[in-house]
Amino acid sequence: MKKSYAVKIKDLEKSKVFGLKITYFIGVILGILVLATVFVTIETSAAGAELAVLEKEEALLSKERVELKSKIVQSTSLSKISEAAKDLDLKKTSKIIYITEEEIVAKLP
Amino acid sequence: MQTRIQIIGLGFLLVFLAIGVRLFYWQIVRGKELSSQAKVQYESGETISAPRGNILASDSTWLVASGEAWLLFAYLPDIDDPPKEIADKLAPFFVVREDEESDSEYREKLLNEVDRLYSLLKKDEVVWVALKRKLLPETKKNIEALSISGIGFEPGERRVYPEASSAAHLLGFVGKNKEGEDTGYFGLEGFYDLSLSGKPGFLKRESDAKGTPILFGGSYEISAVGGTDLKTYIDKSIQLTIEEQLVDGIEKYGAKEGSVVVMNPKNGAILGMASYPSYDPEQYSEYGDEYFKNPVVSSSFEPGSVFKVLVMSAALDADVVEPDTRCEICEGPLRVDKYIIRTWNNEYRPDSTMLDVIVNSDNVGMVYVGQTLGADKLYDYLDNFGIGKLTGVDLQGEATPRLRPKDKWSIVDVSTASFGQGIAVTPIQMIKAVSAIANKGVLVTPQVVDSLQGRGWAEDIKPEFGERVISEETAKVMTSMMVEAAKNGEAKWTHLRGFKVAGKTGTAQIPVAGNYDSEKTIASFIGFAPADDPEFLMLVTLRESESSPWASETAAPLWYSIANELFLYFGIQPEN
Repeated sequence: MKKSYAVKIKDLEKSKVFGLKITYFIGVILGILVLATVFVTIETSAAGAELAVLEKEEALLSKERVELKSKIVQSTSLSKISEAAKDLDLKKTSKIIYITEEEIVAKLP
Repeated sequence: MQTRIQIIGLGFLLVFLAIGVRLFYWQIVRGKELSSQAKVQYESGETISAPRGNILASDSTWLVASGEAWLLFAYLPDIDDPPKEIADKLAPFFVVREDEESDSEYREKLLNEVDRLYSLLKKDEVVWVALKRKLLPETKKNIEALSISGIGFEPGERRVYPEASSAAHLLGFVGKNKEGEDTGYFGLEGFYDLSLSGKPGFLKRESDAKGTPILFGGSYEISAVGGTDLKTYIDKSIQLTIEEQLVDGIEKYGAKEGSVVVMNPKNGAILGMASYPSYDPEQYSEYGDEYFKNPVVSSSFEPGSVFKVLVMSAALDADVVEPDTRCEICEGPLRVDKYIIRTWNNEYRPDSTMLDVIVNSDNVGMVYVGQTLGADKLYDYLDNFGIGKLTGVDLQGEATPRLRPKDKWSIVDVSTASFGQGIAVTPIQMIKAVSAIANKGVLVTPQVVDSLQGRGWAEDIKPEFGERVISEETAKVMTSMMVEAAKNGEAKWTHLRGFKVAGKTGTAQIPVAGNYDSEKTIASFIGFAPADDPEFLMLVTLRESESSPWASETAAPLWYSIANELFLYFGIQPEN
């Protein structure tokens, strides 16, 4: 049975609409992909910049750690402490007298 | 119109052809070269430094630390100022004025440094030249303040010695090997060089013009592994005490050299080790090679009477004598082959017991002991005590004199070895051997490092006990004989009353060209305290003392002077 002219027009419009939908769909997908690419690029650039900042901070902290360690190393030097003690006029015991425990005798009257 | 279109078309064709040719030239002909040039711009590669491990004392404070240092370099194409001017500006930073130095001496040093820098800055064949290594951060800051163009810095590392030249022989130093790399030499630095050396890493990645990393780009990283820290048994208080006392003692007795070793005989832990003359490990290049050898582990000496305790221990353990056994040949000088053997003071005590022989340090009595023991047994015991063998101490440069082969011992060799002549030992061998007496008959290996410490891990180095050399009973008897020797021997005047010290003096003549020097001696004193439960075993040696050749007047008082401080430090109380 042959389709009427009106039905044919309707089918044609339907296929046109479908074609448009596909185009829109592909367009949206492409758009999402483009946006995603831009987003990821921005994100990675930002992360790269953040990494650079963190690395700088790490280098700075490392430097500070080295300086602090150097200070601790010097301040725990027994030779320097001895010199400081000498400057304060502290002296080593020259003679040691050991005392024995006193024995208690005739404690009670 | 048609012609115009054709001309424009031809023009376009030529332009496209020219662009194609140019692109072919850039992409194909010079592609590789330009690609590598571009890589240099966006790819950065840097070495990640691995610091050398620290050397720590027993209280975990630093004996040697890894510190910040800088290499000063000049990039010659960027230099604007005249080289002479730069050399004049930099030289004063590198020349240290010594206290005793005169103006003219200092000026000469300064001019030499200016010449050195000038010659480096005038080099034609290079673009980069190292001007000075191991610069301190303060010096770097001062040089940076001068803002000299073409001068730059590279990070480096240096060894920091918070206790200055203390324990220099024990620690060793870090120098450069043939490849110009930092390498440990002598002592702990040499022995543990592999553990102390870190393994540098490498980082290669792409970055933009500002230096920000491009995370999409390729990256390649090898992590750096820092060097391992060494935690030693060295007690800084003991180390500084023995060094101070040794220098005082050397001055007081006019000795040429001297050494002191303090060890815990129960586990072999070296608590302190000092030798003089010494050197500054930070300025090692200013000293001759002869300063670097640690006499405690590298130099041998004829021990003299301190050796008698080993021979007597052997004889007691072999049951050939007892403390009250009487000497049958002690009535006068003794002829052995073509040699006459005398006592140190030429006094003779017939019927001396073995205890008397040790207390009076009787050479003739010891010949009796040695001959009674016999060459084979004497050799076996000495071998078991570790004489003629490396002790296994964890210090680079240990050497050992050889013990005469077993079948080559003549009667003269047995006789002289019995009182410590004609045989050589190193101080560390002597300490190890006597540790067997202090440690109930069991040998213990001297050990400097207690543990290896990395990031988040630690490996304990366990004490190494050797075989039993003498029975526990023999060790006890020998200890009591040494207590008597310390209390009533020739060094009794210096004995600290109330303290139970087991000790023995030793005065040995120095062999020179096959004979003994009649005046030069090596004086020593070895002892441990408290005798029953020793906290420390100490050996003091002094070479060629001018004040007296006798150990009882030099090494013994020095030993007691140090012991006096150690008693206080360890909290050892007198007995009564």
